Amino acid sequence: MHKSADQSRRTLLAAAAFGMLGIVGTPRWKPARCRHVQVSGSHPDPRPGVDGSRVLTTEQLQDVPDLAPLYDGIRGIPHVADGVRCTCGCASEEGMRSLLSCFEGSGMAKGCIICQTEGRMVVRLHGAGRTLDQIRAAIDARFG
Amino acid sequence: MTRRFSLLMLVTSIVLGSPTDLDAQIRASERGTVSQTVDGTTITVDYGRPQVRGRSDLFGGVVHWGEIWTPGANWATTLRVDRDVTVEGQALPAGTYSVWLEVLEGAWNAVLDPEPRRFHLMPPEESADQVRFSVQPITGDDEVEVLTWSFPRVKPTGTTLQLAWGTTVVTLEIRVQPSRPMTVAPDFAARYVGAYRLRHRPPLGEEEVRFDVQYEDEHLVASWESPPNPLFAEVWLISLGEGMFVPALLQDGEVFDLVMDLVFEFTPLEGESRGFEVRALGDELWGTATRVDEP
Repeated sequence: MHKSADQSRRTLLAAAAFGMLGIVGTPRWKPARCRHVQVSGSHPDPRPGVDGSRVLTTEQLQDVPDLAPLYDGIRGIPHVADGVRCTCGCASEEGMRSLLSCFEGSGMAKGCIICQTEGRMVVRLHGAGRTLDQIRAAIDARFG
Repeated sequence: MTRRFSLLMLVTSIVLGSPTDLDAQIRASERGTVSQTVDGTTITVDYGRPQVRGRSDLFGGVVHWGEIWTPGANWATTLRVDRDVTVEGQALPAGTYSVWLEVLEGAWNAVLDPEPRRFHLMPPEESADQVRFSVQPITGDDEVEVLTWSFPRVKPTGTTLQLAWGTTVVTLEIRVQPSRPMTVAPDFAARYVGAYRLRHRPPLGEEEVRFDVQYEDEHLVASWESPPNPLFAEVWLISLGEGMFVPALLQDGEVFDLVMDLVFEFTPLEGESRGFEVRALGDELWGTATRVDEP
């Protein structure tokens, strides 16, 4: 009886977990412009003196409070996020020059799982001591 | 004589369809397009679609034995590939080709000509830049009224392109270039081969399971004890670079899906692996593994 219940739980977890993988193609909450695209060319050069003052704050993220730590992480490393390209297809839009841009202004990363994944990777890898070139290489490997 | 010839040409032009493209026009053989993407390579056939219309002698009759025929109507059927492929084992560089078949009583000769814009009455002369191979027409089970190109089989490594008209069927095997190498070199594999203990994290669960990586037939093969889905019990690990791998799901020893949203990140980047993390979409941590054998 216990085993059966455990199996049911596992089945449920598996369905949930791997269902999450399945939503990549058409998540309903994702903006139409946000989809992974293969980007050629080089990463942008970080602008000298760039800061994170335009990254959305917790007060501006009240509709998505779970994302506040990610935005805080990006705000803390603007010189890194500004040297990484975004692969969600937004790069050709006006005002979008780097991954940092996705967390500024309208904060498009709020609704874009690609930006969120890239952002978390950049914060995590920088925290692990990776250089900007190493982070770029990891982003290219993951999203190239 | 000249007037009669002109009249004949006019009638022929009306019946067969003018080489001039007109969008709004009823045609005996309407144009059709079929396309298939395989591992990033897109294969497209554009062709006129003649109908049987009660004729029982399509090959050897409507299409004479020995005729160089474009398998379609009016403007030549074209085959476009946006990356290099092989067709029936012959290398075919990316590009658009007109398609021709020398219709014979036995095996037919296929010609892919690099000039795509040809009218059906103007087959190409033989040239060195054509791709040529032999195909064997077979008799299908069903009568196909409208000439049809299709892709009845699609695999991760290629597809079958099929022509059917009447009861005659011709198939072409197309293989694409893999977007990511499925095999790895022994010295590269040696860094990752070993026994690991993998602790699942929610939503996978919280148990610790065995995760073994072996090197078999040039593939990194991972055996995942109690995977959250049976499809993941044995997978190939496909390298993305920078110590990252994604699982390739297998069926009958062949890959049928790369799960790009589940990444195994091995550390350290250089030298023998000591462990890895399982990262899902959103960079969520779904598991942490530690190597338990001696590298």
